[in-house]
Amino acid sequence: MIRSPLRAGIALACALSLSACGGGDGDVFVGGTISGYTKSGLVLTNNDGPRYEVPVGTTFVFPDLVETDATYNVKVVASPDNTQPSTPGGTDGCKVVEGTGTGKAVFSISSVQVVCTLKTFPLTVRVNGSHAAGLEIVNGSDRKAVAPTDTVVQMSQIPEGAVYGVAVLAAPGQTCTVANGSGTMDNVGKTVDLNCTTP
Amino acid sequence: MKKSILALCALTVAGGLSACGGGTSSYTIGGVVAGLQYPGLVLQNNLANDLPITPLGRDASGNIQNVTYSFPNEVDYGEPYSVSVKTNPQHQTCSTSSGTADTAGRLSSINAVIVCSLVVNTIGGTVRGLAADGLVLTNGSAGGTFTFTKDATSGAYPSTFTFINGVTYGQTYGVTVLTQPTGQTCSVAGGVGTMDDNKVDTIVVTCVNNS
Repeated sequence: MIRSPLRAGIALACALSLSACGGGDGDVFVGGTISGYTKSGLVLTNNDGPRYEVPVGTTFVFPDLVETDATYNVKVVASPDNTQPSTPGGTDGCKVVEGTGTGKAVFSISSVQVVCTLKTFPLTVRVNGSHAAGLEIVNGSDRKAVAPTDTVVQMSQIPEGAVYGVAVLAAPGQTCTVANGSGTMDNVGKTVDLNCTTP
Repeated sequence: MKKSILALCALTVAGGLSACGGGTSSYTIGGVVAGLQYPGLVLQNNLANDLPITPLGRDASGNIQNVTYSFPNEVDYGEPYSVSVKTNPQHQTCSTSSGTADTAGRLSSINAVIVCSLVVNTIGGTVRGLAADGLVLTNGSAGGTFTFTKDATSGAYPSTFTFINGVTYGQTYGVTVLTQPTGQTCSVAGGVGTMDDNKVDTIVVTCVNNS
């Protein structure tokens, strides 16, 4: 008696869903959201089953369906190489957020959260020429003061693929320009030149 | 019957309401203001009863402290109350969040919550001389990008731009050319600054043909 409205709900969920029902053994989807997934390489399993190579995006759904009331247990078995594992060589650059990766699949599950932590790389500013006090540079909201003795300034690190644009916020009593201050971060680090003259 | 009324009374008293058993009950209207960092906030109840609220600064952990407030004039049982923002504080916008309007006495406790956040303004400006595809501006790494595309109908390039991502009061912005248009070189003037209380629409991007 209790099962029939449940079944109806599931059928409706299936009908409304983009993926087709009927692959796999059951009729309940297991999926969720992913943050920070920008480069392919994320592999998930459900109940230690087949490896699912997740397409790059912000959501995922396992191709294999599970039975109603079956348990699900989502694990990360491989992470993209642009993510930062907790220990070198680890696979946990992406993690299933605790508490949401396991449970009973009553209705289709879309609540599993996978969070990927991206590796970041240095954005270095080389300071050329004489410069005076009060010099400040920005990469958008990231603001750094340049002391008169500084020859190198490290901006906050950014992930591979992120764009940047270094510009002069303040240069009292001096003339400073940034050469090639904009670009896209690679997997090593980028350096831009800040050229100053003080009269 | 009497017993149940007594029980209700006891429950009401336990719930922190005014005395049972006849007479008029009145209620203090108040609550908390969250996120308040700057002076100038004035709250009202029922569009009167101006109440200035002073920020308390940050606690030892660096979190902005909630300010507890209450209006001096109490409201009789059954009368409506409605807390609103009369004047915003400097550099912030405050809005009513929960429990700010009801009838006095309906809830066991009144907590009219006001939430304040720093103002966020857009940045943008004008572009001159753009005559080719490919110009992309960026505001650092986290401020988003702006791509200039030709209008499909008129074939003209836009003469103004506004970044979708706003900039919070006190934060810096720095607009630079991420990608130059084909055959042209563009430079940015007035693209760097620290956000104050007003939107920035004075950035000028000038494009010239490569010789």
